[in-house]
Amino acid sequence: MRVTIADICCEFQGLEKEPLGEAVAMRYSAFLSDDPPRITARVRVRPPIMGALPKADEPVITIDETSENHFEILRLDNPFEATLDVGHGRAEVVVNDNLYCFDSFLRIIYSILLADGDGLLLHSAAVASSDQAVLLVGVSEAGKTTLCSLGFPTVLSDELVAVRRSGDEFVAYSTPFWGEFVAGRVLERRPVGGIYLLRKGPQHEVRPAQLSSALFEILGCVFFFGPKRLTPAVLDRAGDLVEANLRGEFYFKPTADVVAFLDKEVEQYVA
Amino acid sequence: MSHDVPNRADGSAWRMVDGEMIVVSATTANILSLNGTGAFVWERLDGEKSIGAIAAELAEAYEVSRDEAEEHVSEFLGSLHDEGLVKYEREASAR
Repeated sequence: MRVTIADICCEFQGLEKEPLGEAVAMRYSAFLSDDPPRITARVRVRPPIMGALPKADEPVITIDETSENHFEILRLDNPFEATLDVGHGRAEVVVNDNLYCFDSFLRIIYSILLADGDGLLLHSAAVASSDQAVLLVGVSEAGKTTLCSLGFPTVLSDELVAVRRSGDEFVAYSTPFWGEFVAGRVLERRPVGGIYLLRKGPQHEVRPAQLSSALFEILGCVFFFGPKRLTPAVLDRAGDLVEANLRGEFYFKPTADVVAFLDKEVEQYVA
Repeated sequence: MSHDVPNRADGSAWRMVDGEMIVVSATTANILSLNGTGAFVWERLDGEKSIGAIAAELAEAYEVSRDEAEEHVSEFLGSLHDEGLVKYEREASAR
C-alpha cells in the first residue's frame, strides 16, 4: 500500500493482511498511489491487549539519532515505535492496532521527510483563493476548523498543510490530516499566495503584523519531530516562507461572508 | 569561568529578522527571541572567543564595566546552556 502526500510517496508493506490495513486504505483513499516510494516501511501491527505498546497520558515523542540519517522514534501516547533510515529509504514500524497510532506515525514521518527535502508541515488551515493557497496559521482553538467550515469552495486542510519550496516560490499541498480526526479527501496543490496569523474577532479585518513576531509565532506552529540536524533547514524554510508571503493578522467572525472578504483581500496581492 | 569558550550547540538554528534574533533549540524545540545584547553575544559564539573576550567586547560596545558585562554574559550563556543551545570548551591557555 502506497500513500503519497505532497508528492512524497511512502510504501507500507505488511498492512494489506491486517484489519488495520483496510481502515488505513479507507481513511487515506484520496492519497493512495502507485508512485515510486521515497520510503519503504515494513509495518507490524500489535494486537490489542496482549503485547500492545504501553499508552501514556501525555504526548511523549522520543527521537534517538543513531546516525545522521538513521534514527529511532518512539511515541507513547498514540503508541508506535519506528526506526527510520532516511538515507536508504527504509523504515520499520510497530503500531498498536488502531488508526490513531498509524496516523500519528504518518504525521511524524512526513514531518521528517518534508524537512529532509524542501518543505515542512505547518499547523495551518489552507484555502484556495484566486488559484492560490492562502495559509491561515494558528494553534489549536485559533479557529482553523471553524473558518474552513464557512463555505470555502476548496479547502486543502483545516489542520496541517504541507508546504514545499519550488524554485522561487512555495507550494501548498492538501493533506489527509484534518482537525477532529476527520480524514481529508481533497487532492490539491496551489502556489502560496499569502500567510495570515489567524485570530477570532468581532468582524473581518486584516491588521499588519511585525515580521519577527509573526515568524516567532509561525515557528511555534511548525509540526516537526525530527533529527537535530534538520532544525536549521526548517528555520530557514519557515523564515523564507514568512518573509515572502506574510500579509498580516486575519481577524474573522464565523459568518459565510468571510469567503468573499478573503477573496477580495487576496485579489489585491494577485493584482 | 571567564576562560571557558562557548560555542553554539549542534543543530542550533538562528535567523535575524527585522533586527531581532530568533533562535531555535534543536534540543528542547523552544524558540527564543534575543534582544540586542543577546544577539550581540550570540553572534560571537564561535568556539574561539572566551567568555572573558566576549564580555570585553560587550563592555566596550555598550559602555558598561567589564565586571558587569561578564556577569551578564555568564548568566545569559547559562540560560542558553539550559536550552541546549550552547556547549563549552576550556580555553587552551587556561588548562
